[in-house]
Amino acid sequence: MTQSALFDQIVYKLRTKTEVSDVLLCLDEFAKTFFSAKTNEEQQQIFEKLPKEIADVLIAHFATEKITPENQISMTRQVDELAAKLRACQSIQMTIAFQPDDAAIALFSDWIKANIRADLLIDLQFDKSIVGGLLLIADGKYKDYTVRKNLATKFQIQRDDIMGLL
Amino acid sequence: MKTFQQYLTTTEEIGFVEACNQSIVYVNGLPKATVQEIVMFETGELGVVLSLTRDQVEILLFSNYSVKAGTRVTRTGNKQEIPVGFELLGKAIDPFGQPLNENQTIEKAKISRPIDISPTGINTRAHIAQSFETGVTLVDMLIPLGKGQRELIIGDRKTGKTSFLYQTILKQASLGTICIYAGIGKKKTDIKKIESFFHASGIEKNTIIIASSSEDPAGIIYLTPYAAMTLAEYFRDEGHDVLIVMDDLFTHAKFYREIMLIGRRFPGRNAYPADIFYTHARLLERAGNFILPDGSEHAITCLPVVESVEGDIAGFIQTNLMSMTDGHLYFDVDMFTKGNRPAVNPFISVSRVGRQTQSPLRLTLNRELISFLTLHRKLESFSHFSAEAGSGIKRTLAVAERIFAFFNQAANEVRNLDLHIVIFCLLWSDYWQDIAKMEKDITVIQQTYKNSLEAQSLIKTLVSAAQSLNELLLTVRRQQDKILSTLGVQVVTVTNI
Repeated sequence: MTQSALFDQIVYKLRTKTEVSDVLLCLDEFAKTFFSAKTNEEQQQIFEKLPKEIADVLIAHFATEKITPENQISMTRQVDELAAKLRACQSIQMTIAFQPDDAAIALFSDWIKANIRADLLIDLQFDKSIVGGLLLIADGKYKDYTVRKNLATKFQIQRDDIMGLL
Repeated sequence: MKTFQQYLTTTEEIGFVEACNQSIVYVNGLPKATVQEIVMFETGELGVVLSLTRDQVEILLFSNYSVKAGTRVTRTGNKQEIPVGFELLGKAIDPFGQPLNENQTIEKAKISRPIDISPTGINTRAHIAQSFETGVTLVDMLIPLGKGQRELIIGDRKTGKTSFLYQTILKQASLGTICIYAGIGKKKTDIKKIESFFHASGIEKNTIIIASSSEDPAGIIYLTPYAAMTLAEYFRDEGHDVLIVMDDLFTHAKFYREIMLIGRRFPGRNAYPADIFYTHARLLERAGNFILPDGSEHAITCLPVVESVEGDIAGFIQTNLMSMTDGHLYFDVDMFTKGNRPAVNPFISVSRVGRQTQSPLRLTLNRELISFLTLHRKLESFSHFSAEAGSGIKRTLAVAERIFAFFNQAANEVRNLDLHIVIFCLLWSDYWQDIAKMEKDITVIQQTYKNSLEAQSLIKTLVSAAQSLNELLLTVRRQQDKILSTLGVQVVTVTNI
């Protein structure tokens, strides 16, 4: 598998920035084993910490392209390039009012990959104070679709009535 | 000013601090940021966009506190502005229009003007035709200034530059000119002294102090003279003549250099950025004599100050400023040491446009004085041969001594030029032989002139009637006794040498 094909495969499966950080940690740990006495199987065990889909891709790739004393330097470069590409991936910051489960994350990620860009990641933040809705930050743009903002706007308009009720 | 959240909601743009190097912050995001736009950090600090690169926005921070990486930033959509209005008269403010005294409150100004604008073109400029009195006899007679002129005040530290500025501001404020003092990176005690001086002199209603102290962030110090010039332009547009003093531009250059070096601009001569000339030129070009839309002429007279080091007026910043101003007044440390006050060296000082504003009388007076003092300079080498020098040389030396004593002026003393032209004519006619007597009589004359309408009327008549120095001299000699008695001096018999 070529370098870019490997990257495309991985990034399509990656959903959040947290997952990218985990992959980068594993790649870093993997690269440290190159000049050690570990066997290929021991090296590939490092990827088992990752989600199964991503781990399978990486294990399959490094099973076919084994690390030998002759190709260690070029493999190190390959891993570094892959890590650099993953770091450069853009993300869209989404702040929501609840802790999402795996299904919710998959829902958000699939929609973004299908409708915006396949290599776009989600940076999920949790903030109860927004009450509901969504706060989006991407490419320097800020969009507030939260319930908090709606309530604040309504309060400004109907301030007198609300204070009277209270 | 709105809050961070309000600006964020309005502009719908956000950035994140990636790096911070003292007062320069690098931000990722803010796609529609423009240069010189004000931005706000979520911690409440303000900054201004210095430059834009493909990936980052470079921001100059207006705060002494660093911002942390990851701090959010938003645009305000506003350029750097200062509130302007007559409610600022008598106040001491910072470049953002906030009072320097915590106890002082300023009525909120209705309008704001951008701080950094391009100077107007030549079609709005008028010929400098009105004279500008400083109240300092030496300058008014020998190095005359005009309204709308930019005259550089240059000299070593502690040579009397600030005293001269005080005298000029006193004189102009009493004539109704709006005076703006821009203190750039000054000590807080110095700013307080200036404020107290204006208050004690009773001229605060015509003055504004706009100052930044030495502990303020470099960005705020950098903005100070531009903000002061914006205020000056407002009062000019409202139909007033303005005097603006910038004390001092050497400090301004040093802080600008600091900002640019932190911002990794390539250092030029003396490590100053390559655009240091442009930085000052675009500021000073905003002064001048202008034709307003209603056809009236109003002037912004600018007195930028620069400090020289050990008498070296050939320094980089000093020569830059000399080339972009209409002359300079050089405060000579040697003259100051000898006791001359003000210590203005008339041979090194220059006024490029002052002479065109002078009446024929003042022109001839100026020429006569300059040629006499030039002669005296050549003859000074004979002064140690006093016993052997000829009578002509002795007379010249004696008269010169009296002239220098005549020019000596106490700090905070402001003189009436017409009165002192007449006094000079008496001196030139050898009425006084003794310097002590002369100084005593001048004090009496000044006091009488201040209180006597008859004396004021007489002086005005004498000066306005004369078309040349010789004409005035003849009149003064003919009416010497009458003039002296009107001015309160006991008449004595004059004997010529």
